Amino acid sequence: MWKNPLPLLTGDETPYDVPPSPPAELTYRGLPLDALEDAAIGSTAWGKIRSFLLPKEDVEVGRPITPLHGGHVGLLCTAGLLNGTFGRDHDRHIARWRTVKYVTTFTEEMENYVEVHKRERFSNELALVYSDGRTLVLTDEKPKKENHDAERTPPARAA
Amino acid sequence: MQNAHLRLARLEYQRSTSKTATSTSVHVSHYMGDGEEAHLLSFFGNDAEVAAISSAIQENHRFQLVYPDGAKQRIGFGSDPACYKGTFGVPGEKRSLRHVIAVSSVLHANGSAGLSFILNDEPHTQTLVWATLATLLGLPVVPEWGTHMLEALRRAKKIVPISGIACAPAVVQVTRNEMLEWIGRECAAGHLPFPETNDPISWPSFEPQEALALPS
Repeated sequence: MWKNPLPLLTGDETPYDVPPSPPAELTYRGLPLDALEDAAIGSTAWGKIRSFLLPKEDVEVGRPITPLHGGHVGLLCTAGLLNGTFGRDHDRHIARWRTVKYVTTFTEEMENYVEVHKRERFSNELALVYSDGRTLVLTDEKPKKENHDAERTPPARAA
Repeated sequence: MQNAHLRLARLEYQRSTSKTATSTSVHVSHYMGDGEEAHLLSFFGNDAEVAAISSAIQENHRFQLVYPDGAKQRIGFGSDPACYKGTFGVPGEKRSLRHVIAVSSVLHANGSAGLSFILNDEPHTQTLVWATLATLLGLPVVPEWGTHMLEALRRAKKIVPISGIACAPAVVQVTRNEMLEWIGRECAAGHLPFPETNDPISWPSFEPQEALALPS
């Protein structure tokens, strides 16, 4: 252990000049963030999420090599490649197809456990807007008719 | 672009066990979230950092997000998040960095349940907003109707801005049926001019770089 105390300064000591030194150079050794920020937008990960984040419209414009038959037209429609304006007079409309995934969940109760089943299926929907303001959504299911009779009081019980 | 350190955020993750405490942080380039509920997080770092954060996201842990201005926010992704991975090279070095975009299950089902998330709702990206809405909801519309319909949606307070980093995200709270009814009414009232000829409808395509472009 050092036991000698430091000498007290009186102000008469010979000054010691600090030798000059070159200006300090600051060097950044971290990640080049400016370049990485630009690279991050070009990452392939963005391409994987664009299907549910960015618009994607595929419309094929051109003359087919051979005349299209009904099957061709159906395939193009359901793929969303024939979206556009159709019809004449009061039936002029804009059509848009899209593919929809339906998930049906049902449970089956067993003796000691419950089985949860999920059934997935894909279908196509066609949404229409007519020039007079009518709108329509066509699906693979028939539109359910409202059964007003079910809510009506039977005549025999009507007061 | 210069001065990226002023725009990048940090994601901090701390995990403590009985004997050790581990702290990991990564750079965040883009973020979308609503309060403590994160919907999209784009981050990058080295292999170990990104692996730790990705695992914690899958295990539904919570994180501290430090905004570029220093503000802090606890965030989490909820159930069933998804991580999409990519890599990019570091200029001047042989190694590459890992890049991950974490997405919540709500954003994964974008457009359903009456919620449509828009990546960048800025005055110069209104075409993107309308095209995104038309795609997500499957609306039979034309690009020219965007200005009128988006103004109507804003007047009805259906477009709600949410928190974002390096983007201006928003949520459009409207279902497909509501939009179809709305469009039908506006068509009947003559506010939406119908196309004069029968033609395909062509929409502009957007790359992520264009969609995320900052206003000049």
